[in-house]
Amino acid sequence: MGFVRPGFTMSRNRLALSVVLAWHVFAMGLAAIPFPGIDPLPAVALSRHVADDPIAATVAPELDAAVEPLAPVLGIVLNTVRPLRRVATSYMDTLRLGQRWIMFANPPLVDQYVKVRYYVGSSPLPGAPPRIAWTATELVLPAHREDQIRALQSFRDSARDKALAIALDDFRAKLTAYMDREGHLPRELPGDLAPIGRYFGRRFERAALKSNERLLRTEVWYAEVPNPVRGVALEPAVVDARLAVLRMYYAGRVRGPASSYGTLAYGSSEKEADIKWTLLYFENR
Amino acid sequence: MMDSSVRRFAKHWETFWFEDVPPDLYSLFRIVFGFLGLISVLELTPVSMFWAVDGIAPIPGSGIGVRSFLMDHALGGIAGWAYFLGSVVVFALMTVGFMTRFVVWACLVASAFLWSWNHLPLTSANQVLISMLFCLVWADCSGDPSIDALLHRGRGVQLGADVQPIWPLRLMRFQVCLIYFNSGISKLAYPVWRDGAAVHYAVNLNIFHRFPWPLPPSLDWATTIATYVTLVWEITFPVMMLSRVTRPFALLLGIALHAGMWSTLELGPFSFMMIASYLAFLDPVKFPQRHWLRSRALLRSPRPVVQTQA
Repeated sequence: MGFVRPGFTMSRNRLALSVVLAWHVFAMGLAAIPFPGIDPLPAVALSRHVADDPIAATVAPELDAAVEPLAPVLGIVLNTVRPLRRVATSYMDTLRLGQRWIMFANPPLVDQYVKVRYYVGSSPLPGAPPRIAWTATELVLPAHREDQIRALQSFRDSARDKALAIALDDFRAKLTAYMDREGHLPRELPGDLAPIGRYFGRRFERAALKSNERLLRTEVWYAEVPNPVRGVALEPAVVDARLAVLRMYYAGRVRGPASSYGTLAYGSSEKEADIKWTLLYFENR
Repeated sequence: MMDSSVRRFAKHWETFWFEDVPPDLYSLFRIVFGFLGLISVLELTPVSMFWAVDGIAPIPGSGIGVRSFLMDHALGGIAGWAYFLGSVVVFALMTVGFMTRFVVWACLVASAFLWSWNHLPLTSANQVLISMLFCLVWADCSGDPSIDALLHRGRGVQLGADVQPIWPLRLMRFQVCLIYFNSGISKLAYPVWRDGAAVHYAVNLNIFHRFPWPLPPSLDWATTIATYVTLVWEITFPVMMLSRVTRPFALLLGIALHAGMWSTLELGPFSFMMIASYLAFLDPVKFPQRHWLRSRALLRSPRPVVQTQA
Protein backbone atom coordinates (compact mmCIF):
# COMPACT_ATOMS: atom_id res chain seq x y z
CA MET A 1 0.00 0.00 0.00
CA GLY A 2 2.71 2.45 0.94
CA PHE A 3 2.34 5.90 2.44
CA VAL A 4 -1.09 7.44 1.89
CA ARG A 5 -2.37 10.90 2.77
CA PRO A 6 -5.24 12.79 1.16
CA GLY A 7 -3.87 14.05 -2.14
CA PHE A 8 -0.60 12.12 -1.83
CA THR A 9 0.41 8.49 -2.17
CA MET A 10 3.87 6.98 -2.02
CA SER A 11 4.26 3.45 -3.30
CA ARG A 12 5.45 0.68 -0.98
CA ASN A 13 8.69 0.34 -2.96
CA ARG A 14 9.45 4.01 -2.67
CA LEU A 15 8.58 4.01 0.99
CA ALA A 16 10.98 1.13 1.62
CA LEU A 17 13.67 2.81 -0.46
CA SER A 18 13.08 6.03 1.45
CA VAL A 19 13.79 4.27 4.72
CA VAL A 20 16.98 2.74 3.30
CA LEU A 21 18.13 6.06 1.86
CA ALA A 22 17.45 7.93 5.11
CA TRP A 23 19.37 5.34 7.09
CA HIS A 24 22.22 5.22 4.58
CA VAL A 25 22.71 8.99 4.56
CA PHE A 26 22.49 9.11 8.35
CA ALA A 27 24.96 6.24 8.75
CA MET A 28 27.33 7.75 6.21
CA GLY A 29 27.44 11.02 8.11
CA LEU A 30 27.69 9.43 11.53
CA ALA A 31 30.37 6.92 10.58
CA ALA A 32 32.47 9.62 8.99
CA ILE A 33 32.42 12.05 11.93
CA PRO A 34 35.83 12.03 13.57
CA PHE A 35 35.31 10.83 17.16
CA PRO A 36 37.79 11.77 19.89
CA GLY A 37 38.92 8.57 21.61
CA ILE A 38 38.13 6.46 18.55
CA ASP A 39 39.79 8.31 15.72
CA PRO A 40 43.35 9.60 15.88
CA LEU A 41 42.33 13.09 16.92
CA PRO A 42 44.32 15.10 19.42
CA ALA A 43 42.86 16.72 22.49
CA VAL A 44 42.19 20.30 21.46
CA ALA A 45 45.39 22.15 22.17
CA LEU A 46 46.23 25.75 21.51
CA SER A 47 48.09 26.25 18.27
CA ARG A 48 51.50 27.87 18.04
CA HIS A 49 50.86 31.59 17.61
CA VAL A 50 53.33 33.01 15.15
CA ALA A 51 54.20 36.65 15.63
CA ASP A 52 56.23 37.06 12.45
CA ASP A 53 53.41 36.01 10.13
CA PRO A 54 50.76 38.74 10.33
CA ILE A 55 48.02 36.57 8.80
CA ALA A 56 48.61 33.63 11.14
CA ALA A 57 49.10 35.99 14.10
CA THR A 58 45.58 37.33 13.51
CA VAL A 59 43.71 34.19 12.51
CA ALA A 60 45.22 31.52 14.80
CA PRO A 61 44.04 33.04 18.11
CA GLU A 62 40.57 33.56 16.64
CA LEU A 63 40.36 29.93 15.52
CA ASP A 64 41.64 28.72 18.89
CA ALA A 65 39.03 30.84 20.65
CA ALA A 66 36.31 29.37 18.43
CA VAL A 67 37.39 25.75 18.80
CA GLU A 68 38.22 25.62 22.50
CA PRO A 69 34.68 26.10 23.86
CA LEU A 70 33.25 23.91 21.11
CA ALA A 71 35.28 20.87 22.14
CA PRO A 72 33.39 19.99 25.38
CA VAL A 73 29.97 20.56 23.76
CA LEU A 74 30.95 18.40 20.86
CA GLY A 75 32.20 15.78 23.31
CA ILE A 76 28.79 15.58 24.99
CA VAL A 77 26.97 15.30 21.66
CA LEU A 78 29.36 12.67 20.36
CA ASN A 79 29.13 10.63 23.56
CA THR A 80 25.35 10.63 23.23
CA VAL A 81 25.42 9.19 19.73
CA ARG A 82 28.39 6.89 20.34
CA PRO A 83 26.33 3.63 20.46
CA LEU A 84 24.59 4.55 17.21
CA ARG A 85 27.96 5.32 15.71
CA ARG A 86 29.06 1.76 16.30
CA VAL A 87 26.06 0.46 14.38
CA ALA A 88 26.62 2.98 11.59
CA THR A 89 30.30 2.11 11.34
CA SER A 90 29.58 -1.61 11.19
CA TYR A 91 27.02 -1.01 8.45
CA MET A 92 29.39 1.14 6.41
CA ASP A 93 32.31 -1.23 6.91
CA THR A 94 30.18 -4.17 5.79
CA LEU A 95 29.43 -2.31 2.56
CA ARG A 96 33.16 -1.50 2.30
CA LEU A 97 32.19 2.16 2.44
CA GLY A 98 33.96 2.89 5.71
CA GLN A 99 35.20 6.42 5.46
CA ARG A 100 38.04 8.29 7.14
CA TRP A 101 38.56 11.54 5.32
CA ILE A 102 41.59 12.69 7.28
CA MET A 103 44.10 13.21 4.50
CA PHE A 104 46.75 15.71 5.56
CA ALA A 105 44.79 16.47 8.74
CA ASN A 106 48.04 16.07 10.63
CA PRO A 107 50.83 16.33 8.07
CA PRO A 108 54.11 14.81 9.25
CA LEU A 109 56.71 17.39 10.17
CA VAL A 110 59.53 15.16 8.98
CA ASP A 111 60.97 13.77 5.78
CA GLN A 112 60.97 9.97 5.79
CA TYR A 113 63.51 7.54 4.37
CA VAL A 114 63.74 3.75 4.25
CA LYS A 115 66.74 1.77 3.12
CA VAL A 116 67.17 -1.99 2.88
CA ARG A 117 70.51 -3.69 3.53
CA TYR A 118 71.33 -7.08 2.14
CA TYR A 119 74.01 -9.38 3.58
CA VAL A 120 75.36 -11.72 0.96
CA GLY A 121 77.21 -14.97 1.62
CA SER A 122 79.19 -16.94 -0.90
CA SER A 123 80.24 -20.59 -0.97
CA PRO A 124 83.77 -21.26 -2.10
CA LEU A 125 82.83 -24.82 -3.07
CA PRO A 126 79.54 -26.27 -4.21
CA GLY A 127 77.62 -27.60 -1.20
CA ALA A 128 79.80 -25.79 1.34
CA PRO A 129 77.99 -23.47 3.81
CA PRO A 130 78.12 -19.84 2.64
CA ARG A 131 80.37 -17.38 4.43
CA ILE A 132 79.45 -13.75 4.78
CA ALA A 133 81.05 -11.84 1.92
CA TRP A 134 79.62 -8.39 1.30
CA THR A 135 76.61 -6.12 1.80
CA ALA A 136 74.59 -3.88 -0.44
CA THR A 137 72.31 -1.08 0.71
CA GLU A 138 69.43 0.34 -1.31
CA LEU A 139 67.26 3.40 -0.70
CA VAL A 140 63.64 2.34 -1.23
CA LEU A 141 61.70 5.32 0.19
CA PRO A 142 61.15 7.70 -1.44
CA ALA A 143 61.01 5.92 -4.77
CA HIS A 144 61.96 9.03 -6.71
CA ARG A 145 64.99 11.31 -6.66
CA GLU A 146 64.52 14.29 -4.39
CA ASP A 147 66.78 16.48 -6.47
CA GLN A 148 64.63 16.33 -9.60
CA ILE A 149 61.15 17.48 -10.56
CA ARG A 150 58.67 14.62 -10.31
CA ALA A 151 56.96 14.05 -13.64
CA LEU A 152 55.01 11.11 -15.08
CA GLN A 153 57.04 8.29 -13.51
CA SER A 154 56.31 9.71 -10.08
CA PHE A 155 52.62 8.88 -10.57
CA ARG A 156 53.54 5.21 -10.33
CA ASP A 157 56.21 5.82 -7.72
CA SER A 158 53.61 7.37 -5.45
CA ALA A 159 51.93 3.97 -5.00
CA ARG A 160 55.17 2.43 -3.74
CA ASP A 161 55.80 5.38 -1.43
CA LYS A 162 52.28 5.09 -0.09
CA ALA A 163 52.64 1.34 0.51
CA LEU A 164 55.84 1.80 2.46
CA ALA A 165 54.46 4.74 4.44
CA ILE A 166 51.34 2.77 5.42
CA ALA A 167 53.45 -0.27 6.39
CA LEU A 168 55.51 2.02 8.63
CA ASP A 169 52.34 3.49 10.16
CA ASP A 170 51.00 -0.01 10.84
CA PHE A 171 54.34 -1.03 12.37
CA ARG A 172 54.50 2.03 14.64
CA ALA A 173 50.91 1.54 15.77
CA LYS A 174 51.67 -2.02 16.90
CA LEU A 175 55.13 -1.20 18.21
CA THR A 176 53.69 0.84 21.08
CA ALA A 177 51.70 -2.16 22.28
CA TYR A 178 54.77 -4.38 21.85
CA MET A 179 56.99 -2.07 23.89
CA ASP A 180 54.37 -1.79 26.64
CA ARG A 181 54.23 -5.56 26.99
CA GLU A 182 56.50 -6.96 29.70
CA GLY A 183 59.16 -9.43 28.66
CA HIS A 184 58.73 -8.78 24.96
CA LEU A 185 60.99 -10.77 22.69
CA PRO A 186 62.61 -9.63 19.43
CA ARG A 187 60.78 -12.37 17.52
CA GLU A 188 57.48 -10.84 18.67
CA LEU A 189 58.21 -7.53 16.93
CA PRO A 190 55.36 -6.47 14.64
CA GLY A 191 55.81 -8.05 11.23
CA ASP A 192 54.47 -5.15 9.19
CA LEU A 193 57.86 -4.37 7.68
CA ALA A 194 58.52 -7.98 6.69
CA PRO A 195 56.87 -7.59 3.25
CA ILE A 196 59.25 -4.71 2.49
CA GLY A 197 62.36 -6.69 3.45
CA ARG A 198 61.18 -9.83 1.66
CA TYR A 199 60.02 -8.16 -1.55
CA PHE A 200 63.19 -6.11 -2.03
CA GLY A 201 65.29 -9.05 -0.86
CA ARG A 202 63.87 -11.28 -3.59
CA ARG A 203 64.32 -8.55 -6.17
CA PHE A 204 67.93 -8.11 -5.08
CA GLU A 205 68.58 -11.85 -5.26
CA ARG A 206 67.33 -12.00 -8.83
CA ALA A 207 69.20 -8.92 -9.97
CA ALA A 208 72.53 -8.97 -8.18
CA LEU A 209 73.56 -12.40 -6.90
CA LYS A 210 75.81 -14.90 -8.65
CA SER A 211 75.05 -18.61 -8.64
CA ASN A 212 77.39 -19.28 -5.70
CA GLU A 213 75.98 -16.41 -3.63
CA ARG A 214 73.07 -16.41 -1.24
CA LEU A 215 71.16 -13.75 0.65
CA LEU A 216 71.76 -14.37 4.37
CA ARG A 217 70.08 -11.44 6.04
CA THR A 218 67.86 -8.48 5.15
CA GLU A 219 67.55 -5.34 7.27
CA VAL A 220 65.03 -2.51 7.00
CA TRP A 221 66.31 0.85 8.24
CA TYR A 222 64.16 3.92 8.80
CA ALA A 223 65.03 7.59 9.24
CA GLU A 224 63.15 10.78 9.93
CA VAL A 225 64.65 14.18 9.29
CA PRO A 226 62.74 17.17 10.67
CA ASN A 227 61.51 19.64 8.07
CA PRO A 228 62.34 23.29 8.71
CA VAL A 229 59.71 25.10 10.73
CA ARG A 230 57.88 27.89 8.99
CA GLY A 231 60.01 31.00 8.62
CA VAL A 232 63.32 29.16 8.88
CA ALA A 233 65.42 28.07 5.92
CA LEU A 234 67.72 25.05 6.16
CA GLU A 235 71.45 25.72 6.16
CA PRO A 236 72.73 25.15 2.59
CA ALA A 237 75.62 23.05 3.96
CA VAL A 238 73.14 20.72 5.72
CA VAL A 239 71.07 20.38 2.55
CA ASP A 240 74.16 19.71 0.43
CA ALA A 241 75.48 17.06 2.83
CA ARG A 242 72.16 15.22 2.82
CA LEU A 243 71.90 15.42 -0.96
CA ALA A 244 75.40 14.00 -1.28
CA VAL A 245 74.33 10.96 0.73
CA LEU A 246 71.11 10.55 -1.24
CA ARG A 247 72.93 10.87 -4.59
CA MET A 248 75.21 8.04 -3.52
CA TYR A 249 72.09 5.87 -3.21
CA TYR A 250 70.54 7.25 -6.42
CA ALA A 251 73.60 5.92 -8.28
CA GLY A 252 72.59 2.37 -7.34
CA ARG A 253 72.94 -0.09 -4.50
CA VAL A 254 75.85 0.87 -2.27
CA ARG A 255 78.18 -2.06 -1.77
CA GLY A 256 80.07 -2.36 1.50
CA PRO A 257 81.87 -4.70 3.88
CA ALA A 258 79.92 -7.14 6.01
CA SER A 259 81.65 -6.39 9.29
CA SER A 260 78.38 -5.64 11.09
CA TYR A 261 76.87 -9.02 10.20
CA GLY A 262 75.17 -10.60 13.18
CA THR A 263 75.91 -7.70 15.53
CA LEU A 264 72.97 -5.39 14.90
CA ALA A 265 69.74 -5.69 16.84
CA TYR A 266 66.41 -3.93 16.64
CA GLY A 267 66.90 -0.24 17.43
CA SER A 268 70.53 -0.06 16.30
CA SER A 269 71.36 3.25 14.72
CA GLU A 270 73.77 4.82 12.28
CA LYS A 271 74.13 8.30 10.84
CA GLU A 272 74.72 9.70 7.37
CA ALA A 273 74.81 13.54 7.19
CA ASP A 274 71.69 14.64 9.09
CA ILE A 275 69.92 11.34 8.42
CA LYS A 276 69.88 9.20 11.55
CA TRP A 277 68.91 5.64 10.64
CA THR A 278 67.27 3.18 13.01
CA LEU A 279 67.09 -0.56 12.37
CA LEU A 280 63.42 -1.50 12.55
CA TYR A 281 63.32 -4.98 11.08
CA PHE A 282 65.68 -7.78 10.15
CA GLU A 283 65.31 -11.30 8.93
CA ASN A 284 67.98 -13.99 8.83
CA ARG A 285 67.66 -16.77 6.31
CA MET B 1 -2.55 21.35 9.83
CA MET B 2 -0.29 18.51 10.94
CA ASP B 3 -1.49 16.36 8.08
CA SER B 4 -0.81 19.05 5.52
CA SER B 5 2.72 19.55 6.86
CA VAL B 6 3.38 15.82 6.65
CA ARG B 7 1.95 15.76 3.14
CA ARG B 8 4.09 18.71 2.08
CA PHE B 9 7.18 17.09 3.55
CA ALA B 10 6.38 13.76 1.92
CA LYS B 11 5.86 15.43 -1.45
CA HIS B 12 9.09 17.32 -1.12
CA TRP B 13 10.86 14.14 -0.07
CA GLU B 14 9.55 12.23 -3.06
CA THR B 15 10.53 14.96 -5.48
CA PHE B 16 13.94 15.30 -3.89
CA TRP B 17 14.83 11.61 -4.11
CA PHE B 18 12.66 10.09 -6.80
CA GLU B 19 12.13 12.55 -9.62
CA ASP B 20 13.15 11.28 -13.01
CA VAL B 21 16.06 12.81 -14.88
CA PRO B 22 17.72 12.06 -18.23
CA PRO B 23 20.37 9.33 -17.99
CA ASP B 24 23.10 11.28 -19.83
CA LEU B 25 24.94 12.46 -16.72
CA TYR B 26 25.15 8.90 -15.46
CA SER B 27 26.70 7.88 -18.79
CA LEU B 28 29.30 10.60 -18.41
CA PHE B 29 30.02 9.40 -14.87
CA ARG B 30 30.51 5.88 -16.18
CA ILE B 31 33.04 7.03 -18.77
CA VAL B 32 34.97 9.34 -16.45
CA PHE B 33 35.13 7.02 -13.44
CA GLY B 34 35.75 3.99 -15.63
CA PHE B 35 38.77 5.75 -17.09
CA LEU B 36 40.01 7.00 -13.72
CA GLY B 37 39.52 3.53 -12.24
CA LEU B 38 41.60 2.10 -15.08
CA ILE B 39 44.35 4.66 -14.42
CA SER B 40 44.22 3.81 -10.69
CA VAL B 41 44.67 0.11 -11.41
CA LEU B 42 47.55 0.74 -13.82
CA GLU B 43 49.18 2.95 -11.20
CA LEU B 44 49.55 -0.13 -8.99
CA THR B 45 52.31 -1.69 -11.06
CA PRO B 46 54.54 -3.65 -11.28
CA VAL B 47 52.02 -6.38 -10.63
CA SER B 48 54.51 -8.41 -8.61
CA MET B 49 54.87 -5.50 -6.17
CA PHE B 50 51.24 -4.79 -5.31
CA TRP B 51 49.03 -7.62 -6.57
CA ALA B 52 51.04 -10.76 -5.87
CA VAL B 53 50.35 -12.17 -2.41
CA ASP B 54 54.08 -12.09 -1.63
CA GLY B 55 54.55 -8.52 -2.89
CA ILE B 56 54.54 -5.42 -0.71
CA ALA B 57 51.31 -6.57 0.89
CA PRO B 58 50.36 -7.53 4.43
CA ILE B 59 51.53 -11.01 5.35
CA PRO B 60 48.64 -13.46 4.78
CA GLY B 61 47.02 -14.74 7.92
CA SER B 62 44.10 -12.47 8.70
CA GLY B 63 40.62 -12.44 7.20
CA ILE B 64 38.96 -15.56 5.83
CA GLY B 65 42.23 -17.06 4.62
CA VAL B 66 41.96 -16.61 0.86
CA ARG B 67 45.45 -15.15 0.56
CA SER B 68 46.92 -17.75 2.91
CA PHE B 69 45.38 -20.51 0.80
CA LEU B 70 46.79 -19.03 -2.39
CA MET B 71 50.21 -18.57 -0.81
CA ASP B 72 50.27 -22.13 0.51
CA HIS B 73 49.43 -23.52 -2.92
CA ALA B 74 51.97 -21.29 -4.70
CA LEU B 75 49.16 -19.48 -6.49
CA GLY B 76 49.84 -16.01 -5.08
CA GLY B 77 51.49 -14.71 -8.23
CA ILE B 78 48.90 -16.13 -10.63
CA ALA B 79 46.04 -14.90 -8.48
CA GLY B 80 47.62 -11.43 -8.36
CA TRP B 81 47.90 -11.30 -12.14
CA ALA B 82 44.33 -12.55 -12.53
CA TYR B 83 43.02 -9.90 -10.15
CA PHE B 84 45.03 -7.18 -11.90
CA LEU B 85 44.00 -8.20 -15.42
CA GLY B 86 40.39 -8.70 -14.33
CA SER B 87 40.35 -5.19 -12.90
CA VAL B 88 41.86 -3.72 -16.06
CA VAL B 89 39.27 -5.47 -18.21
CA VAL B 90 36.22 -4.47 -16.16
CA PHE B 91 37.28 -0.83 -15.89
CA ALA B 92 38.04 -0.73 -19.62
CA LEU B 93 34.61 -2.23 -20.37
CA MET B 94 32.98 0.23 -18.01
CA THR B 95 34.63 3.11 -19.86
CA VAL B 96 33.41 1.95 -23.26
CA GLY B 97 30.05 0.82 -21.90
CA PHE B 98 29.95 -2.89 -22.77
CA MET B 99 27.80 -5.16 -20.57
CA THR B 100 27.50 -2.04 -18.50
CA ARG B 101 25.22 -3.14 -15.66
CA PHE B 102 27.41 -6.11 -14.91
CA VAL B 103 30.80 -4.42 -15.25
CA VAL B 104 29.93 -1.44 -13.06
CA TRP B 105 29.09 -3.90 -10.29
CA ALA B 106 32.28 -5.83 -11.07
CA CYS B 107 34.31 -2.62 -10.80
CA LEU B 108 32.75 -1.88 -7.42
CA VAL B 109 33.49 -5.38 -6.11
CA ALA B 110 37.06 -5.34 -7.51
CA SER B 111 37.80 -1.94 -5.94
CA ALA B 112 36.24 -2.77 -2.59
CA PHE B 113 37.92 -6.16 -2.25
CA LEU B 114 41.29 -4.57 -2.95
CA TRP B 115 41.24 -3.21 0.62
CA SER B 116 41.27 -6.81 1.86
CA TRP B 117 43.76 -7.98 -0.75
CA ASN B 118 46.36 -5.26 -0.20
CA HIS B 119 45.48 -2.00 1.52
CA LEU B 120 49.05 -0.73 1.66
CA PRO B 121 49.24 1.24 -1.61
CA LEU B 122 45.63 2.45 -1.49
CA THR B 123 44.89 6.13 -1.00
CA SER B 124 41.82 8.26 -0.49
CA ALA B 125 41.42 8.14 -4.28
CA ASN B 126 40.38 4.50 -3.96
CA GLN B 127 37.87 5.41 -1.25
CA VAL B 128 36.40 8.10 -3.50
CA LEU B 129 36.21 5.63 -6.38
CA ILE B 130 34.38 3.04 -4.27
CA SER B 131 31.95 5.64 -2.91
CA MET B 132 31.12 6.90 -6.40
CA LEU B 133 30.78 3.39 -7.86
CA PHE B 134 28.45 2.45 -5.03
CA CYS B 135 26.11 5.24 -6.14
CA LEU B 136 26.54 4.51 -9.82
CA VAL B 137 25.56 0.83 -9.63
CA TRP B 138 21.98 1.81 -8.81
CA ALA B 139 21.54 3.79 -12.03
CA ASP B 140 21.43 2.54 -15.59
CA CYS B 141 24.45 4.24 -17.09
CA SER B 142 24.61 2.20 -20.27
CA GLY B 143 23.35 5.07 -22.41
CA ASP B 144 25.16 6.83 -25.24
CA PRO B 145 28.00 6.92 -25.96
CA SER B 146 28.49 3.22 -25.28
CA ILE B 147 28.94 -0.08 -27.07
CA ASP B 148 25.75 -1.33 -25.46
CA ALA B 149 23.82 1.54 -27.02
CA LEU B 150 25.45 0.94 -30.39
CA LEU B 151 24.60 -2.76 -30.32
CA HIS B 152 21.03 -2.10 -29.32
CA ARG B 153 20.64 0.54 -31.99
CA GLY B 154 21.99 -1.91 -34.55
CA ARG B 155 19.27 -4.35 -33.53
CA GLY B 156 16.67 -1.61 -33.61
CA VAL B 157 15.98 -2.00 -29.90
CA GLN B 158 15.52 0.86 -27.44
CA LEU B 159 18.21 0.64 -24.74
CA GLY B 160 17.22 0.83 -21.09
CA ALA B 161 15.01 3.49 -19.59
CA ASP B 162 14.75 6.96 -21.05
CA VAL B 163 14.80 8.44 -17.57
CA GLN B 164 16.57 7.53 -14.37
CA PRO B 165 15.84 8.33 -10.74
CA ILE B 166 17.84 11.17 -9.32
CA TRP B 167 18.64 9.56 -5.97
CA PRO B 168 21.99 8.02 -6.97
CA LEU B 169 23.07 11.48 -8.05
CA ARG B 170 21.85 12.93 -4.75
CA LEU B 171 23.88 10.33 -2.87
CA MET B 172 26.96 11.32 -4.84
CA ARG B 173 26.43 14.97 -3.96
CA PHE B 174 26.00 14.10 -0.32
CA GLN B 175 29.14 11.99 -0.49
CA VAL B 176 31.26 14.81 -1.93
CA CYS B 177 29.97 17.27 0.67
CA LEU B 178 30.70 14.76 3.40
CA ILE B 179 34.26 14.23 2.20
CA TYR B 180 35.07 17.92 2.40
CA PHE B 181 33.18 18.68 5.59
CA ASN B 182 34.69 15.73 7.37
CA SER B 183 38.16 16.51 6.14
CA GLY B 184 37.76 20.15 7.22
CA ILE B 185 36.54 19.29 10.70
CA SER B 186 39.41 16.81 11.20
CA LYS B 187 41.88 19.48 10.13
CA LEU B 188 40.37 22.01 12.54
CA ALA B 189 41.21 19.67 15.42
CA TYR B 190 44.92 19.94 14.70
CA PRO B 191 46.89 23.02 15.81
CA VAL B 192 49.01 22.91 12.67
CA TRP B 193 45.97 23.93 10.60
CA ARG B 194 44.86 26.62 13.02
CA ASP B 195 48.28 28.24 13.14
CA GLY B 196 48.45 28.36 9.34
CA ALA B 197 51.50 26.09 8.91
CA ALA B 198 49.88 22.90 7.55
CA VAL B 199 50.36 23.60 3.84
CA HIS B 200 53.96 24.66 4.52
CA TYR B 201 54.68 21.23 6.01
CA ALA B 202 52.65 19.34 3.41
CA VAL B 203 54.45 20.85 0.41
CA ASN B 204 57.81 20.19 2.04
CA LEU B 205 57.27 16.46 2.60
CA ASN B 206 59.82 14.49 0.62
CA ILE B 207 57.38 11.69 -0.15
CA PHE B 208 54.89 14.05 -1.79
CA HIS B 209 56.55 17.25 -3.01
CA ARG B 210 56.79 17.59 -6.78
CA PHE B 211 59.59 20.15 -6.88
CA PRO B 212 63.00 19.55 -5.35
CA TRP B 213 63.40 23.05 -3.97
CA PRO B 214 61.97 23.94 -0.55
CA LEU B 215 59.74 27.00 -0.46
CA PRO B 216 61.73 30.01 0.73
CA PRO B 217 60.54 31.63 3.97
CA SER B 218 59.65 34.75 1.95
CA LEU B 219 56.74 32.78 0.47
CA ASP B 220 55.37 31.58 3.80
CA TRP B 221 52.51 34.07 3.52
CA ALA B 222 51.26 32.10 0.49
CA THR B 223 51.19 28.78 2.34
CA THR B 224 49.47 30.46 5.29
CA ILE B 225 46.73 31.79 3.02
CA ALA B 226 46.44 28.41 1.30
CA THR B 227 46.05 26.73 4.70
CA TYR B 228 43.22 28.98 5.84
CA VAL B 229 41.45 29.04 2.46
CA THR B 230 41.50 25.22 2.37
CA LEU B 231 40.18 24.98 5.92
CA VAL B 232 37.32 27.45 5.40
CA TRP B 233 36.44 26.10 1.96
CA GLU B 234 36.26 22.48 3.13
CA ILE B 235 34.12 23.21 6.18
CA THR B 236 31.72 25.49 4.31
CA PHE B 237 31.55 23.37 1.14
CA PRO B 238 28.21 21.68 2.00
CA VAL B 239 26.60 25.01 2.86
CA MET B 240 27.89 26.60 -0.34
CA MET B 241 26.37 23.75 -2.34
CA LEU B 242 22.90 24.69 -1.10
CA SER B 243 22.76 27.93 -3.04
CA ARG B 244 22.87 28.40 -6.80
CA VAL B 245 24.89 31.58 -6.19
CA THR B 246 27.70 30.08 -4.12
CA ARG B 247 27.80 26.66 -5.80
CA PRO B 248 29.81 27.66 -8.91
CA PHE B 249 32.20 29.65 -6.75
CA ALA B 250 32.82 26.70 -4.42
CA LEU B 251 33.30 24.29 -7.30
CA LEU B 252 35.67 26.61 -9.18
CA LEU B 253 37.65 27.17 -6.00
CA GLY B 254 37.73 23.39 -5.52
CA ILE B 255 39.11 22.89 -9.03
CA ALA B 256 41.73 25.58 -8.36
CA LEU B 257 42.73 24.03 -5.03
CA HIS B 258 42.98 20.53 -6.47
CA ALA B 259 44.95 21.84 -9.45
CA GLY B 260 47.25 23.59 -6.97
CA MET B 261 47.66 20.38 -4.98
CA TRP B 262 48.35 18.38 -8.13
CA SER B 263 50.99 20.85 -9.30
CA THR B 264 52.86 20.87 -5.98
CA LEU B 265 52.21 17.39 -4.57
CA GLU B 266 52.23 13.92 -6.10
CA LEU B 267 49.00 12.42 -4.79
CA GLY B 268 48.30 9.84 -7.48
CA PRO B 269 44.82 10.05 -8.99
CA PHE B 270 43.21 11.76 -5.97
CA SER B 271 42.95 15.29 -7.44
CA PHE B 272 41.46 13.99 -10.71
CA MET B 273 39.03 11.80 -8.81
CA MET B 274 37.75 14.70 -6.71
CA ILE B 275 37.39 17.09 -9.64
CA ALA B 276 35.54 14.36 -11.57
CA SER B 277 33.14 13.94 -8.65
CA TYR B 278 32.00 17.55 -9.17
CA LEU B 279 30.06 16.28 -12.19
CA ALA B 280 27.43 15.29 -9.64
CA PHE B 281 26.61 18.96 -9.17
CA LEU B 282 25.73 19.53 -12.80
CA ASP B 283 22.04 19.89 -13.57
CA PRO B 284 21.10 16.48 -15.02
CA VAL B 285 18.32 18.01 -17.13
CA LYS B 286 20.21 20.94 -18.57
CA PHE B 287 23.39 18.93 -19.05
CA PRO B 288 22.34 16.96 -22.16
CA GLN B 289 20.67 20.04 -23.62
CA ARG B 290 23.81 22.08 -23.31
CA HIS B 291 26.61 19.71 -24.03
CA TRP B 292 28.05 17.53 -26.75
CA LEU B 293 25.87 14.62 -25.79
CA ARG B 294 22.99 16.59 -27.23
CA SER B 295 24.04 15.60 -30.72
CA ARG B 296 23.02 12.03 -30.02
CA ALA B 297 19.45 13.21 -29.52
CA LEU B 298 19.18 13.10 -33.29
CA LEU B 299 19.62 9.35 -33.04
CA ARG B 300 16.93 8.81 -30.43
CA SER B 301 13.32 9.52 -29.97
CA PRO B 302 12.50 12.67 -27.99
CA ARG B 303 12.19 12.06 -24.27
CA PRO B 304 9.70 13.64 -21.92
CA VAL B 305 10.67 16.92 -20.34
CA VAL B 306 11.42 16.56 -16.66
CA GLN B 307 11.89 19.17 -14.02
CA THR B 308 14.59 19.09 -11.43
CA GLN B 309 15.44 20.97 -8.32
CA ALA B 310 19.18 20.48 -8.93
